[in-house]
Amino acid sequence: MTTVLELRKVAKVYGSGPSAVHALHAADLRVDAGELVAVMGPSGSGKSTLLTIAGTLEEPSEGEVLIGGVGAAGLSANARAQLRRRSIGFVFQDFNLLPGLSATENVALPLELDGVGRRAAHAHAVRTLDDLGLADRAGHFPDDLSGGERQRVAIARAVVGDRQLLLADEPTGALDSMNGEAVMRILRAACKRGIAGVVVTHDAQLASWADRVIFIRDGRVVDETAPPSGPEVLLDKDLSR
Amino acid sequence: MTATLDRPVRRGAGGGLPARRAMVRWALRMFRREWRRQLLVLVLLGVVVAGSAFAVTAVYQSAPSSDARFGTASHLLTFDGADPARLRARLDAVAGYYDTVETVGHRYVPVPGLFDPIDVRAQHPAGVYSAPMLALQRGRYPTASGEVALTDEVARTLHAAVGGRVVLDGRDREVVGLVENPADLDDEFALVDAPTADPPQSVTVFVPGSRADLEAFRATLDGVVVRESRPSESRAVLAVLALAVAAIGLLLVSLVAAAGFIVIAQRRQRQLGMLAAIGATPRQLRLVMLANGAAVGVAAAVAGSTVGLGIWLALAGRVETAAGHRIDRFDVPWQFVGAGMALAVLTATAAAWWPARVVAHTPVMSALSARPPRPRPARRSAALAVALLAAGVVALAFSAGGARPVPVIGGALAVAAGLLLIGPLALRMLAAGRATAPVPVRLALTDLVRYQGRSAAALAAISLTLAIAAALVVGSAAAERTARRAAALGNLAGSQLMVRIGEPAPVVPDHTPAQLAAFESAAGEIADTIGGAALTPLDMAVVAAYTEPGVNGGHPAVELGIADDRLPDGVLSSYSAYVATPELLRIYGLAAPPAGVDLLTTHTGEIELVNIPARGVYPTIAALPNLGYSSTPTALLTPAVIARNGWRPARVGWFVQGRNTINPDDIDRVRAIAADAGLTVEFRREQASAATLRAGATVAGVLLALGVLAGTVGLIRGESVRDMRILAASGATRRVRRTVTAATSGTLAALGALLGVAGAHLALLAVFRTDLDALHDIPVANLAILLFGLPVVATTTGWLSAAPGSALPARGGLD
Repeated sequence: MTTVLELRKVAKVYGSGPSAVHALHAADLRVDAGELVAVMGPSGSGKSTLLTIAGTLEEPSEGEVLIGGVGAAGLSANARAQLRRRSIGFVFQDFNLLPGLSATENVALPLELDGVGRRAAHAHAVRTLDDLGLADRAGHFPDDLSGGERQRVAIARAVVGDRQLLLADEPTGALDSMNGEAVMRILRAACKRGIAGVVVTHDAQLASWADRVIFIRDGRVVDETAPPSGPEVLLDKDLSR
Repeated sequence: MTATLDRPVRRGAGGGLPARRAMVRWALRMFRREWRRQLLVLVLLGVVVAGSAFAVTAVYQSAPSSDARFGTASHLLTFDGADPARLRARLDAVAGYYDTVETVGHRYVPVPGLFDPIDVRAQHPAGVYSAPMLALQRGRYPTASGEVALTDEVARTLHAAVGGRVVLDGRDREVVGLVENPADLDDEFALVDAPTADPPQSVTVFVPGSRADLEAFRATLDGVVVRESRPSESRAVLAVLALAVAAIGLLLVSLVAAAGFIVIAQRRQRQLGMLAAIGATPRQLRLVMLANGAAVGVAAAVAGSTVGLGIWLALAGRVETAAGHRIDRFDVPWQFVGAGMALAVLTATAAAWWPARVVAHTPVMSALSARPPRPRPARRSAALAVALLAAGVVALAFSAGGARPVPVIGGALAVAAGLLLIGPLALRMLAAGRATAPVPVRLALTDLVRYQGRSAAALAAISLTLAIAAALVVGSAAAERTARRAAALGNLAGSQLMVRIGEPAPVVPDHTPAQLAAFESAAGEIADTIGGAALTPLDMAVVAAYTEPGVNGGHPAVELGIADDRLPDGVLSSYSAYVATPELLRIYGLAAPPAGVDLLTTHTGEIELVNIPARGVYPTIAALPNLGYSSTPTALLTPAVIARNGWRPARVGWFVQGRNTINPDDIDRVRAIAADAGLTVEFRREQASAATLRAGATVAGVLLALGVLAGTVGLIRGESVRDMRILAASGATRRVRRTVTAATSGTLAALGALLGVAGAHLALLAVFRTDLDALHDIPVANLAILLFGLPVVATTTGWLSAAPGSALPARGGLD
C-alpha cells in the first residue's frame, strides 16, 4: 500500500512563554491509500489541530508532514495552496459551501483554481455529483439544499479530481443520524476507491466505519485500535452485490 | 467515482485564466447577493460620478467656441470696403490663392436710440465656412434686396416682427425671418440677401489652411492686412479641470470606500478561509476583493453617469441660456464622461486593495474560525499618524493662506491620512479608562478594542467624513469673514450706486465729446430718478500715446500694482486709481491733496504704478480715509502726478450718492436708463451667505457617519451575540443589552466627531496661521450638531436597533 499521509513527531504549540498551549506532542500518524482512519478524543485534545496540520492549513511547531511522500515543510504559500487543491480535500462540520455558487460550481471550484477550463471542470463536477446521487441537485444553490445534501456536495468537492487525501472534521456533527450514516457511507466508499481518509469524530458508532481508530488525549496519541465490525460490513455487502 | 482528469499545461501555482475567471465569477455573484451592504460606498461613488458626468458635459458644452466667429474656417481676413476697387483686387487675390474661400459683407448702420450700430450682414445661409454661424428661427432667409432677417434683440430694438417692415440703412425692407448665430446668441445683426446687398463697408473672408499658408498669402499683399487665426479651444481644458475636481472628490470617497471594503472583507472572512482551504492562492484571494471593488466601481459609474447625464438632459436648456450659445444636449463628450467612469472604477478598485491584501495575509485557520485578527500594537500607526499630521500642518502653514494649491492638496491629504491612522490609538486610550465605567459601557469599549480591525476602520471613515464636513463649515465661515472684512461694509451703501461707461476694465475707450455728453445726461437722469442724488464724476488717468496691444481705440488706465505673496514672483495685484478731483476728494472729507504727494490710497505695501510705459515707478503716498465700501475708490492720483507725467484724465463714470436707500422700482428704472444709454450700473450687493453650504455639509456629514456606523456597529455586535447570550443568562436585563449597542454606536460617533472636528481645526489653524481673526466666527450650531448631535442620534439609534432578536447571527456566510 502507498502511504499518502505521514506525520512524524508532529508538535504544535500556540503562543509562547507561560501562556503557551501545547496542542500536540510528538504525534505520529500514517495513512495509506484506501484506508480510513478515525480520530477520536475529548474536546480540546488536539484532534482538529492534527487534521489542520495534516492538511497544511497550519504548520507544525516541530516534526514533519509528508503528503504523498513530499514534505510540506518549507513550502511557499502558493505551493501549499497547489498541494491542497490537487491532493487534499476538506470536509468541515457546518460551513462548507460557498454561497452564490451552485452545487456544480462549488464542486468544480478546486479544478478551476488549478487551471482546468470551466466546461471541463463542470462536466467533471457533474459526474462526481452524479456518483453521489446528487445529479438532480447539481444546479441548486446551497440555500436550496438540505443539511445532508450540502455535506454530500462538500464531500464531492473534497474528492473531485485526483485527490489522494480526504480530511473530514466532524463531518456529521450538524446532521441527524440518518444523514450522518449516509455521509460516512460516502466517505468509506471514497476510500475504498483508493483515497486515504482521516475523519475526526466524537461518535464511536460513526468511528466504526474506519479501518483504524486513534485516540488523542492532551495532544498525545494514546491508543490505536481496529474497530469492531460495524456498519461498513453493510457497505461491503452492498458493494459485493 | 473520481476519474482522472486531464489538466492543461501547468502555469505555475496560479491556475491561470480559469482560476481568475472563477474568482471573479464568485466575487460578482457575491456582489449581486450583497450589494445592499455596500450601498453607502455605491451611493458616495455614484454621487461623485453623477456630478462629474454633469459637470464635464456642462462645462464642455458651455465653453465658448471659436465657431462663433470662425465657423469652420481656420483664419479670418478683414478687408476695408472704403475703396471698392482695392477691395475687389484683394478679394480676387484671396480667391486666386485659396481653393475655397467665403466672404461675408458688413455694413454698420446707426439706429436712433442705440449706442452701437447694427451689423447688416450679407452672408450666404449655406456658407462653406460660416454655416455654423447662422440658423433660422422663424420665417425664411432673405432672397431679394428688399428683404431682411433679424436677430431677436435687433427685432426687439426695432419693434419689428416677421411680416413687418423696417427702415434699415436707408431702405424700407420686409422682415422675412428671425435668425441667430447659434454659436453666439449675443451676436446681434441683420441678415440681408448677399447677392443683392449694398457695397460692404468691410468684408470678412473665411479661409482654410495653416498659419504659414496665411502668412505666405499675406506677403503677396501690400498694406495692412487684418487677420486672425482660430484660437485653441478651451472646452477640452475646462472639461479636464472639471474632471480633476471630480478626481479629488473620488480620492476622498476612496477613503470611506476602503473602510467599507474592510467591513465586507471581514464579513466574508470564513468564506475566504474556505477558499484558501480548498487551494486558492493568496493572489486569488486578493483578486476576489479587487473584483468586488471593481464591481462596486462599475455599478456606481454606470448608475452615476446615467443620473448625471439625465440631469444634464433636463437642465441643458438652462445651461444654454447661461452659456449664450445653442447646445446640442445629445452631443455628450463621451471621452470625458468615460474618463470619469474609469476613474470611479479605478478608485473603487484601489480602495479595495488594502482590504484585499489583509485578506490574502490572514492565516487560513484564523479566517475559517472567523476570529477577529489580533489587534496590532497601536504605537507604530500612532507614530506614523503624528508624523503625517505634523507634515500636513507644516505644508498647510506654508500654503500662503490656501493660495498655493500644491501645499494645500498635499497638506490636506497628509492630515486626512494622519486622521485615518490615529484611530487605533484613540480607541485604546478611550478604552483604557473603562475600568470605572458601568458594565454595559465597559463591554462596549472592550469590544471596540477587541474588534479593532473593524472599529478602527469605521472610526477612520467617520473621522474623515466629519473632518471634511467641519472643514467646510468652519472654512466657509472664515472665508465669509475674510470677504466681509475685505469688503468692510459691502460693495456700496444702499443709497449709493456707481455708474460706469462700459464695463469696469483697465482700458478706457476713446469717446467723442457728443458721446460723453450723452453719457453725462443719462447719468444725470439716473440721479434724478433716485430723488436728486449727488453726482460725482469719476476720471482715470490714461497715457494718451500709449495703446494696449490688441485693444483698438482705447488706452490703459494708470493703476496701482502691489506685490502679493500669494502670487508668483513678479506678478502684482492691480487696483484701480481715480483722479483726485475736488468733488471726489470732498467725499473723503478732504479739501485738497497734501503737497508733494502722488497718490492717496487706503492700500499698504510696496505700491508701484502700472499700465504705463515706464517700469518701477513708485509714487509718494499719503493715506486715504477708508469709506468702508469695496467699490468706492481706494486710490486717488493727485493732479500733480498726472501733470508731471503728461497723463490725461478720461471720464469713466460717476459715483451717485442718494438721500435714501434705493428701492427696487428705482433700481429697475435706473437699469433701463443705463441700458438705453450704454452705461453699466453697480448697486449694493447683498452679502452672499454660505449658510446653505454649511447646513448641507453638516447634514451630509451626519448622514454619512450614521451610514458607516450602521454597517459597523451591527457587525461588531453581531460578532458578540454569544457574549450577549451569556449576559442574558447571567441575568442582564434587556436595558443592559440595549445599552451595550447604544454605547458602542455612541462611543464610535463621539470619538469620530471629536477627531474629525479637531483635525479640521488643526488644518484650518495652519492655513490661517497669519490671520487667525478669520476663524473668529465659529458656526457654533453646526459644530454642536457634529460634536454632540451625531453622538446623541447614534446612541439613540443604537438603543432602538438593539431590539430583541435584531442582532446579526454570530456565524453567517458559509453554508
